[in-house]
Amino acid sequence: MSTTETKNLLFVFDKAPHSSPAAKEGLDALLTASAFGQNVTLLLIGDGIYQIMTNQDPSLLPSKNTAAIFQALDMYGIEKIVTLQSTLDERNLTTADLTIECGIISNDEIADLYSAQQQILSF
Amino acid sequence: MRELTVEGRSITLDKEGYLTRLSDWSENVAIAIANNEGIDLTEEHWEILNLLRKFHAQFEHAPAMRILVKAVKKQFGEAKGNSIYLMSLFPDSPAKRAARIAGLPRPTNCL
Amino acid sequence: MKLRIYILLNNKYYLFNEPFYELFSDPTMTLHIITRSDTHSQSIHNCLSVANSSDALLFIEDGTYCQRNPTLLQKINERGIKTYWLQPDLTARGLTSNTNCNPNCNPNCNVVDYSGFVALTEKHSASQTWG
Repeated sequence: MSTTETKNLLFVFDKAPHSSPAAKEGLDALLTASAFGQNVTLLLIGDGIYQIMTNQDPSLLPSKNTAAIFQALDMYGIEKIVTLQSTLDERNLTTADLTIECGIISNDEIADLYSAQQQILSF
Repeated sequence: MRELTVEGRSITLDKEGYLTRLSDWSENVAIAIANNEGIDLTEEHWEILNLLRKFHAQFEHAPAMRILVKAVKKQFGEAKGNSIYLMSLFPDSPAKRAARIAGLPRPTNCL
Repeated sequence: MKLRIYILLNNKYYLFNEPFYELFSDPTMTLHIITRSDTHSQSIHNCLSVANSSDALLFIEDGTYCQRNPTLLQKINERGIKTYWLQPDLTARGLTSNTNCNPNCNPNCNVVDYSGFVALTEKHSASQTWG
């Protein structure tokens, strides 16, 4: 591997957690990027916000409890986790329904966020 | 695939030395895996192993080195929360070796 | 001779151990199985455009997220369509505490387990899975 170069990476999760392996794969990639000192931001949009809903218990399904892995993001130093107001509104959610702290950004801010990225990874 | 016999039970390890069935783990299994890797477990080792098992139960994955150091530092302070100390307990690759002995899967993003 | 049908659900086989003529006990009803959320897919809306009031809806997998949309539930309820929700999929997604689907509040709404799922497919003359 070449010498580490810090990039702004935006991870976009837009799928619900338990019906595909996308959530788990996205988290693995996110934790890896952060372990390599990259400047990561996580955007939870659309059904992706369901990944951090409270009280998830997939013990009866073959899927992993990915919500628990989100709890560790803080320890990984991943602090920029954001969503859109419309994502919450469309699902009758408030930040109280979420297991981790998640900032709400406006449509103007989302444009700035995207324009600041060198790479966008979508899961 | 390797096999260890612990208390008359046959325990299988995958080719990297992790338990094939995580539910096989017990303290005696940990001792056997450690012995197999040439380590005699002491109180200091158990401190780290117990912390790792707690981490896994809470966060559903085994941490890579950087996060392991951070978690140890948070729990036991600067004197133990550093890679030299962890290296002295679990030589070569502490995050992987400790995860194997603690009966956890391979650490996430240990590439 | 007895026909045995096995149903594959979440990697487990369930024996559908009934004489097969009972499959046709009520020829008028269709079971619509919803597997996608209302916010990620049009399938619940398409389903409602063809379902009639004697049909039933069974929400499984990401279909259970439809529970977050009270307007949608009200629309289904007003048409007298019965709804069933698969318990393990609700629980996995943190949806059980949601009172929108409490049989005490809404008699048209029921929570079922895997054997309830099998019983529903048995009870209906046909089922359609909306992917």
